[in-house]
Amino acid sequence: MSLITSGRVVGLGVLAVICGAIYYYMYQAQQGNLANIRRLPQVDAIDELIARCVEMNRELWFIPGGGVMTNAFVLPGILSVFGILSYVTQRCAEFGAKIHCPTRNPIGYNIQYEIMREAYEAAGKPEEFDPLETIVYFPGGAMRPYIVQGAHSRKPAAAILLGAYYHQTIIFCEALQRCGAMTLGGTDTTHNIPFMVAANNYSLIGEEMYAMSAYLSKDPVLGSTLAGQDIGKYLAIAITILGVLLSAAGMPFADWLVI
Amino acid sequence: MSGKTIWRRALDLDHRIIATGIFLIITYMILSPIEIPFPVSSYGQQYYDFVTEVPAGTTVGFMMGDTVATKPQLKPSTTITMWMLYEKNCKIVYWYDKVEAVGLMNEYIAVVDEMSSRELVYGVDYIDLGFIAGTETGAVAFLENIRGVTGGVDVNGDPIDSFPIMEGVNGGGDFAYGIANCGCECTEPMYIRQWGMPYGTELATINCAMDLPAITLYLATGQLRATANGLLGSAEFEYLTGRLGLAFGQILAVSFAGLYFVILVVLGNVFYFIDRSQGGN
Amino acid sequence: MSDEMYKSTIPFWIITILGALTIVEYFFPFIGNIVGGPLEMLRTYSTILAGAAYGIGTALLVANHGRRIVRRTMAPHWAFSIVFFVSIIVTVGVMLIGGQTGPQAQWVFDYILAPSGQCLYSTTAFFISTAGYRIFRFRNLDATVLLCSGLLILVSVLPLFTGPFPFFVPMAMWLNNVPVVAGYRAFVMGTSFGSIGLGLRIMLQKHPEALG
Repeated sequence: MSLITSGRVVGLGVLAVICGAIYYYMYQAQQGNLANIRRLPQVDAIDELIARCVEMNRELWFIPGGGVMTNAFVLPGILSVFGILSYVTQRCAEFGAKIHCPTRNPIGYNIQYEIMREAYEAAGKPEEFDPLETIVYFPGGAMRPYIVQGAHSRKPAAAILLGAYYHQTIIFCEALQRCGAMTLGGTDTTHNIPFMVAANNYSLIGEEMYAMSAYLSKDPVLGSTLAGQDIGKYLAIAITILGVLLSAAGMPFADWLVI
Repeated sequence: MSGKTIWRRALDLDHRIIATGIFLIITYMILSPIEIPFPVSSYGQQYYDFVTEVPAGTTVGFMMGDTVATKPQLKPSTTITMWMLYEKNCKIVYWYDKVEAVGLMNEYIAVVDEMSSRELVYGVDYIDLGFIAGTETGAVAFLENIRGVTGGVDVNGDPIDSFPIMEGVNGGGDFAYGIANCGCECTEPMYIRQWGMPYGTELATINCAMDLPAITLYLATGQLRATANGLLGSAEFEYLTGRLGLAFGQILAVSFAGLYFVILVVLGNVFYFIDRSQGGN
Repeated sequence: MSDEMYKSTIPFWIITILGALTIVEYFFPFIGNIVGGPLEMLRTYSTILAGAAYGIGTALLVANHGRRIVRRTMAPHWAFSIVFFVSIIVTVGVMLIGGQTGPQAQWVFDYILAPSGQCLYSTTAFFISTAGYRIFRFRNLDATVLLCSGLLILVSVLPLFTGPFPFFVPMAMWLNNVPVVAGYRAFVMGTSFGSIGLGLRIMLQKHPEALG
C-alpha cells in the first residue's frame, strides 16, 4: 500500500502549500506584520446602500442565496454570507435603517436569526429587532412571488443579494431594479454571474464574497489569510505556464500531475 | 427641459406589455408552428453517441434530480435515454437528490413503459432506491455504500438484496456508465468529483442550458463525456432518435421568443442612446 | 458546562477534528483503513441530519404562520397563513391515508404542486424579457463585450438562427471552448482557494460567524 493515494500526490502538495501560506500569513499578522490588503470597493457600496435607506426612510433587503447547509457545494458561500450579514445588520441598527432578511435556508435561518439579534444588541437597540419581520423563512418556491410582490409593494431603497443564486437571479434583480432599489449582488456559483454583473449596481464575483466576509470581520488576522490564498493563485499560474511550455516540448506534463 | 421624450416614454413601457408580447409569440408558435431547418449541435450528437455506446445488458446508475420546474425541458431527454437503454436490455438503478423527483419518477416510468417494446419488470430491469438527502455528503455516502445509506431497502421498503438487479451492486464503482439528471441546480461538478473521477464511471449529464458554461470545462478535459443540454438537447435527442415530441415542438416557440428578446435588447439600447443624446438621463 | 462551551467550543472542535480526519483520509490510505469505517458511518448519518433539515423548514413555517394568525400581523395577509395550514393538513393527510407515493399524493403532486412550480419557473421568461429591454445596456466596454457574447451564445442555440446562418455555431463554439472555459477555470480555481481559506479559518476557530 502506498503512503499517499495514487493520483492525489500533487493535490496534497498544492493543498499543503496553500494551507501553509495561509497559516504563515495568519502567524505574521498575529506578530503584528499585517499583509497589505486592497480595500474592496464594495465595502463602501454597503455603506452607500445603508445611507440611501436612511435618507429615503425605506427598507434594506438582505436576500441570502439558496441552497441548504447540508450541501457542501454551496456551504462556503453560505458561511461567508453570515459574516457579511452580521456587519450589515449592525450598521443598519447603528444608523437607523430598517433591514429585512427573507431567507430560503431552513438550517441557516436559525443562525441568521441569532446573528441579526446579536447585531441589534451590539448596536444597543435590541428592541428594534422584530422576530416576525426582521428575518423570515420561505421555502424555495415561495421566495419568488414574495420578492416580486414585496418589491412592488414595499419598495425597498436598497438590496443586497449574496450567495448561491440560480434562475432566480434575474427575477429578483429585475423586480428590485424596477422598484427603484440600488442593489449589490454577489455569487460564488458559476451559472448566473453574467446576470449578477449586468443587473446589479455593484457586484461581488466568486471569492470576492469570501474576501468581503474576512475583511468585514475587522480582524486583521483574518484579512491576512487572503494573502495566503493569493499564493495558491500564483502557484496555479506557475503550474499553467510550466505545463504549457513542457507540453509544447513534448513532455507528458498532464500525466505528472496525476501521479 | 420638461416632459419626457418619446424615447423615454418608450423605455418606460409597462412591463406587462412586454410580457404580453412574449406570451403571444410563444402561444402563436405552439398553436401554429412553421417549418424551420434544424441543425444538430455537437453536444446533442455527443450525447446521442454516448447513450448508443453503452453496451447491451449493462447496469447503469441514473441519478434522477429532475424537478417540476425543469420537467418541460428535461423530461424528453430523460425518458428517451431510459427507453434507449431498456431497448438494449440495460438495467437502471435510480436514485434522486431532490424531493420533487419522487413524484416525477412514477410518471417517467409510465411514459417509458408505453414507449418500450417489452414490459419492464421492477427489480429486474430497474429499481428505485429513493431520495438521498444531503446533496454532496449524501452522494458520497451513497456511492460508498448503497446498502448502508438506504438501510438495505428500496423506496417501497422492500429489501434490495431480493432483487436480481442489485446483485453485485453496492457503490459508484459498480456502474461502468452513469447518467445524472441535475435539473438546474448545477450539481454536475459534484457528480464528476464524487462519482466519475473517484470510481472511473463514464458520466453524462442531463441539465439545464444555464449550466453549460460551468460544465464545458469538464467536457473539454473528458471528465464528463456528454451532456443533454436543456431544451435544445432534448429536441436534438428526439430528432436523432426519430421520436419527435414536445421538446421539438417547444424549440420553435423558444426560438421566436429568443428573437423577441434580441429585438428587445437592441431596441432598448437604441431608445436609451437616442434619449441620452437628446438630453435625457 | 458554560453556554460558550456547548454553543461554540464543542461544535468547533467537532468541525476541526472531523474536517481534519476527512482530509487526511482522502490522501493517506493507511489512515483511511483506521478511520475510514467510522467516517463512512458518520457520512451515512449525515444523510439523516440532512433529511431533518426539511423538518426544520416545516416547523419554522408552522411557527411563523401560527404567530401571524395569533397576532393578526400584516393585515389582511395573515388570512393566507390559514391557507398554509389548510394546505399542509390536506397534503399530510393524503399521504397518511394513501401512502407517500399513493394515488392521492400523486394527484396532489400532479395537479397542484407541479403546475404551481412550473408556473413560477416560467415567469423567468417574462422577467428576463423586461430585463433585456430595461437593464442590459451597452454602457461601457465591459458591458458591451458581455452583451455581445451573451447574444451570440443565445442565437447559437436557437435553430431559427443556426438554420439559415450556420456561421453562428462555430463562433459560439469557439467562444464556449476558449474564453469561457479559460475564465471559468480561473473562477473555479479562485473560489476553490477561497473555500480552502474559509475552511481553514473555521477549523482553526478563527471564523466565529460560522456558528452564528
